[in-house]
Amino acid sequence: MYGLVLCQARLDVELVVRSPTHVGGDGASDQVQGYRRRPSTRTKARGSETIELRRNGAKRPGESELALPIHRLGDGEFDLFVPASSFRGAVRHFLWKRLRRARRDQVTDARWAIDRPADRDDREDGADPTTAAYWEPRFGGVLMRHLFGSEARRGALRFSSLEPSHHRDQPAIPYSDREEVLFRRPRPTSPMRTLVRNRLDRFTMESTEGLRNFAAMEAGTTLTGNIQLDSFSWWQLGALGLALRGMQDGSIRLGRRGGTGLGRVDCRPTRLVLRWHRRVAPLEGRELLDTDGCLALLGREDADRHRGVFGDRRMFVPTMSERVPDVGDIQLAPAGPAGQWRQAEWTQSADGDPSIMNLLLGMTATLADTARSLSGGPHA
Amino acid sequence: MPEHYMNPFWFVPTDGEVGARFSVVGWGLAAADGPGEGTATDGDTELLTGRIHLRLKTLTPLHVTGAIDPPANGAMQHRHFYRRKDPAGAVRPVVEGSSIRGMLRAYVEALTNGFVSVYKDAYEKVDGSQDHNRGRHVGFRVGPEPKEGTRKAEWDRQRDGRFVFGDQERVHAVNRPDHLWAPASVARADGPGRFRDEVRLDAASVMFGLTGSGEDTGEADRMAIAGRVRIDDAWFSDDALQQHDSLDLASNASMGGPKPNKSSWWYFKPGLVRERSVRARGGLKRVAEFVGADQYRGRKFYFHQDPGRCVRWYRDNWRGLKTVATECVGGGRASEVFTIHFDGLPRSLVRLLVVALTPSQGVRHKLGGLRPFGFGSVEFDIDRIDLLMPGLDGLDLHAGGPWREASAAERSALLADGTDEQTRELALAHVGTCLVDPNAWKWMRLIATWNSNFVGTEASLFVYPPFKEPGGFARPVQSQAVRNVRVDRKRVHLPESRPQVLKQIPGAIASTNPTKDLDHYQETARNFDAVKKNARI
Repeated sequence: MYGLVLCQARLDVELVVRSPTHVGGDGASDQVQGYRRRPSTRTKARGSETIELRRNGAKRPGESELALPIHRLGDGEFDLFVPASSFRGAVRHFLWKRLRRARRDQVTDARWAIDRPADRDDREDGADPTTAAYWEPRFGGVLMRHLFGSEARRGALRFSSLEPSHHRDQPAIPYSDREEVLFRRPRPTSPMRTLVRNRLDRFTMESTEGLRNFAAMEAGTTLTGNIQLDSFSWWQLGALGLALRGMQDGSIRLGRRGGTGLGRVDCRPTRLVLRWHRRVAPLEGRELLDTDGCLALLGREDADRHRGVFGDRRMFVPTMSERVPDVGDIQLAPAGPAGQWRQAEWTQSADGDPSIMNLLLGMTATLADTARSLSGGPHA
Repeated sequence: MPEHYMNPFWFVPTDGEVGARFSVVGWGLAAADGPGEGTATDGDTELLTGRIHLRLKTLTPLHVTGAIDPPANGAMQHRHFYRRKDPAGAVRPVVEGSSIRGMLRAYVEALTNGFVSVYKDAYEKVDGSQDHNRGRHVGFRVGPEPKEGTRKAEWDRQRDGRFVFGDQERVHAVNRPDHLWAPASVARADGPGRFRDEVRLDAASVMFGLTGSGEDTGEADRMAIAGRVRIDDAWFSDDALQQHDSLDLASNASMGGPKPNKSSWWYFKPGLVRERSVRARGGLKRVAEFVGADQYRGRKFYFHQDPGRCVRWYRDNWRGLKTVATECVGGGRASEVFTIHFDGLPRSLVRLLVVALTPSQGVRHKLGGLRPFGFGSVEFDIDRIDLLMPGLDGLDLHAGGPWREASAAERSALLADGTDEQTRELALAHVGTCLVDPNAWKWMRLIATWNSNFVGTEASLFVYPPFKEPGGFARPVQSQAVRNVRVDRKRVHLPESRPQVLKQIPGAIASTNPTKDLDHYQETARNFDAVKKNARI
């Protein structure tokens, strides 16, 4: 993000699927091509003209039409997973809405502002990322660009795939054929279920396309993954806390059909690791926060200091005040690893242990402060 | 005294006042790049994010079909309620959010006279006589013709080798008024269609989203809009389940299943009477065919009634029916509290959502299966409304954010409390952003008014007309009977399509067969006046 990684954070999370979750998989599509319709003999209750959509090659009723994504594990087996892009997209969309809402004096609604080709054209036609104009909120908002990047810069957040932990103690089944995985359960314990949708004609109340099957992860599935931040700021950890709370209260849905109750997940942080270069030392010497290190960078307008990070390229950096969170209750690791990097680590000891969550929630105050400072900044 | 009761369904017309249609700018969803016509009232464009915690309450037994025991002798044996794993991992009965969402969307679309978001685009002509269960003498299609050579056209051919959509001699095109079309086709223009000022969205599309349509995926994607209302599942406890009787036919047909037909004036307004030859015992017979006009009557909704009384009536009056044990959530039960989320929804539409959940004047929803027999009358009980804390407060969770319970004043405003009970929906029609079609609301009251005192009476019986019996729905009318009808002292000549003549034919042949025109059938039913009185119309 800044050319140099001066500090890093890694948040391990465990997601428990609370309602069936469908993420469209490879080869899964609702396009007509590749599927065939056949009259069903088992769907009488839904109307005499009901048909069932099945994927070519499916031999039994109930086999999924739209499958979940499957990938090859390190041991050569296949299994379900939720791609990092889906995880990232869900979090990004949520944070976008929340941050936009907090700064409505400058923007309207994220869903309309983010992807406007007209804006893209402006950029291609000469908008210069080194000018203040580039940082106008209509291009997506400063905070979001810091978190998720833009066409000109890399974001601080990196998401991993979410992989189910259900198979850890199960015997492996040597599937080698990808199609076989799609049409059979990847593993005996894979928590897939087939959901059925039946869209009714508003004029006639007849089924429009018959019963439509698609595969989804069953409620109760546990997924694990992590989120990493490079050269993070405290408010960015606060943004993660906001996202975690969004998952817990059902505001973030994974995958498709979230509007109909699918994709609800509960998120639990299991481990938080902060690493920093010895020159930064953000937790040990708070006085350094204002004079050195990445946390101070955002507040600098001194060209010389910027040059130290960005090289000779002139870069406008918006002003953000960074309030140091109240971290008095954080216990540093007694001794970090030797060398250039030091580390602090928190591990969730039990399901009900709120320490990491409390820490992240505490940092949301910093997020609010940062957003507040932006609202009054020169780019506002 | 008419012998028949009203049919279980009727239609909310689509020719009333058109509800609000605004661009995304007009709804307040995006900043205006320039002046545009049509904008919701200022206060109504404030975007609200919040949650409604509510319960689903059953008024009559509710059945959502899960597993079905395999048919025996052509009839179903047992219909189980739908079950799924709940968030805690226990398998329990559930009404999925998708079912509730579909029901609410259909209601909002009808109430606002909005776009028809779901329709079956083609009903193929199926060779066979009228008494064949699957026969359809007049095929018809609702959607536009697929372009020749497109994947869609190719697909349609593959689906049924006998049926080609371009064949106008065999397939009737059904017109839909412009205001019922979602603006997908407008997106063809350069740039993102949804930002064009002339692309107007209706209330239901903003609330529940819009799936783009088009010849290719890219075109559809450009018009797709995410919904702003999310509906979670409503869970019931196992002890809410009871066994009730429903009915089925001992054949391939399902009793009560829709069978849209253009060879009658049932789903369609009267369009044409013509003569047709059919094979029958004793050779060819010349019968009258009542071809529907090229327009649906409207959107289909079912009346409320007591399922026990309805099932008993069929048992006593119809032959060949099989009783099916049906697992239902019993009447008078409530689900656990579940949540409806709204996210960045204009204030006017939040109010519409709340009004749709709790309609006034006794209007109630119908949900699930077996609705023609009285199952599935439901209502919602709003427990609490939360709003997202505004601005920066919503970010600072350490300070207690992001949700706060709506104050009494806010809740009252959203529930439209204080508005005259008689005019709560009509207030949405005329105050601020015009949302509700008064004509649709009148019809909704006629069809969907729930009155527990009325439902227990014989006047609330709604049953299908007899099918093959004399005077039944499937019995043809001799063409001579129509020719004998005199209008202005002149005999009717076939084919006949003049509206003033068509209007008089159903009454003239009613003694022979009263089932040929739905409106006439309903209005001459023995309980029609009582139903109107119940709805205070």
